Amino acid sequence: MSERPLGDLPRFPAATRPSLRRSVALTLLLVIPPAALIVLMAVWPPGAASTAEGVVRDGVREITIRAYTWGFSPRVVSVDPQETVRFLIQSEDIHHGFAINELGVNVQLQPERQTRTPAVRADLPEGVYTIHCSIFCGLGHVSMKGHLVVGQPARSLAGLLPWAASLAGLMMVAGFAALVRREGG
Amino acid sequence: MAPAARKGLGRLTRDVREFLLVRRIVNLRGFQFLVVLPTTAVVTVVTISAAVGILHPSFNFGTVFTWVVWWGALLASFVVFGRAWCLVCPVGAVGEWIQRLSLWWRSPYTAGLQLRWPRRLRNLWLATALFMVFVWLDNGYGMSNSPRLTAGLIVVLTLASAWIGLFFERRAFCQYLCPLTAFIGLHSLFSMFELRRQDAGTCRARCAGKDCFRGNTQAYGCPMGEFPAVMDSNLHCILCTECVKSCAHNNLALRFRPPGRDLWTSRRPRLDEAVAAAVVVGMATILPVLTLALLPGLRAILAGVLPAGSPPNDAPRLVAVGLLFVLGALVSVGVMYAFGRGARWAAGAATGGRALFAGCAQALIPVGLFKFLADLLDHGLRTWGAVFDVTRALLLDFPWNRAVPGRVTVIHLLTPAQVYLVQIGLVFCGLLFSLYAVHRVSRDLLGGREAAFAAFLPMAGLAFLLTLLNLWSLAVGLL
Repeated sequence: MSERPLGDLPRFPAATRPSLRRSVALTLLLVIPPAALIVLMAVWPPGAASTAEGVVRDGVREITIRAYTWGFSPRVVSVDPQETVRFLIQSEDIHHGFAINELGVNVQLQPERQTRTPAVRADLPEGVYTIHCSIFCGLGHVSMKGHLVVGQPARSLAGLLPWAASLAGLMMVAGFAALVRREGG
Repeated sequence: MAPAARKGLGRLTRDVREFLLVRRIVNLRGFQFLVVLPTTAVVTVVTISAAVGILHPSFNFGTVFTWVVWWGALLASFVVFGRAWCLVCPVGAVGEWIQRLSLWWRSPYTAGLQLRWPRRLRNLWLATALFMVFVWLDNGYGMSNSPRLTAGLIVVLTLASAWIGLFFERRAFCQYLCPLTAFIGLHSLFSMFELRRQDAGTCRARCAGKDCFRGNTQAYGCPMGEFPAVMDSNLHCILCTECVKSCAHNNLALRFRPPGRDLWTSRRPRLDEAVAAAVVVGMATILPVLTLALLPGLRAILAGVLPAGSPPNDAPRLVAVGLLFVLGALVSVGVMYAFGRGARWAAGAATGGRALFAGCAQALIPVGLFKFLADLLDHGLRTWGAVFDVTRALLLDFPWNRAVPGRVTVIHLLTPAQVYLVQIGLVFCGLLFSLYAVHRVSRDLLGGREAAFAAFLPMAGLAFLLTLLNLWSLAVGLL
């Protein structure tokens, strides 16, 4: 074995007395600022509230969308129920996909080339539908999503899920720490 | 539970070879060849269809199968069978067949020079660097959505495996050069299955030949250069069962175990493995967020100094992706090192900051693994129909794959909110496993309950931070 082992067990001796207060303070200091930053970045990403207006040609509203690694701009597209729309999408970098499963739209985007979808009618109940990249495009592929808002749907509670999950995660860690503490480290 | 059932379950955790059928299969000389054969056939078809089939990645069998089915199966296999993919991987097998001049029988001949792998390179540094290059190729050039690049990757890796096998002994390529070896090996620490020696005393006192490592006339020595008598982790074990066949004392067991045990029982955490673990965990958590946030800005800055081209051959973008990946890896390592040092300071330990870093990095592997699984779930549930459509299209023009599927099935199995709920479950699984691993690492590394708990808290804080990052990055579709 050529690589030097980092830490041979048995255990490391203590130089000073371990301090729970010091540990808690350090943990809070290291965790709270980045945690706040993570939530802030997710809740207010640039262009999160942007919508697309588009141009009407022959009764079809043409909406231009930019695709990039890993997002769409604008991220939110609003259409009226039964409105006929066409999407003009251009990938700024590598191959991506543009799909709205409920509308049967699924096109491949070539780098730096505009792709036109067929004209489709938003024959859907009022609601929020996911626009997503349909081609695996790397690590952040799962984040490459947008919204198609049909009509004026009632506000969904789904947006509260990440808050609830974050709180549950925090409680899970606190509960686990309490268990470990009760068992005596 | 009935006594008979308990006995059955007990055999699973003792040695699955106690089942007669399993024992017979494992003891077959051609066991590995038989399991490699089907994957070799599939990978051959995948390579042909990706190399000459239609260019649309959503309609090409090669790309859809590789990056949805294979990638998904690979991630899922980590949870149960560790490096099971390496057991059936035709890329490594081709190198081994050429080196051994045999497909399954024990051949006394070799086509290789049987050189020993250079001592300085017997670690995961090169593998980690190649893993970074692999991910850069995927995200910079879009390898996973290019059929031709996918075929090229498979061919290049197979040739490299064969070439390295001709010069160096054992599976040097699989152990040190395969771009996925660090990724697969480290995630396999989590798996619920292991190959281990049963009784240390038997190996020490009764075994003079060490056939498990050296081989004998019936079986080869460990192709990964492991010494099963002292092997204490799944990092390199590919479950080929050569050691099981060669052990004269029947002292090796294949058994199920609680998931994740290697994460805290490994006796010699090493710097290369710790850094590789930090990079792999960062790849699932920190790196995508960093790239998403900084790529447009950095590309714009680099466009001022580098000649722009047509993507994917756009130098500013390629360099920006590369720089961000290096930055992401450094941030991942730096964050884990800082928390390790912080844990040491809180515990008041005189030494051991780097050991805590190593333990922390390995303990966080479940957070990264379950994030990968949550990503896969999302992609799989949205595009699963394509697998059937491209398979149907392939059969129309087998194996050239030039026929375009008439349609791509798009049926939602779950709503976005339901998908997210399942993802939350997966992410929390990762968090819980990591918390337990962090607890065991701090308890085993530090003497005294107070010190162990003081060290546990900052590392648990880091597990929470990465979980938070995962939860919010997965929620993009809901916000």
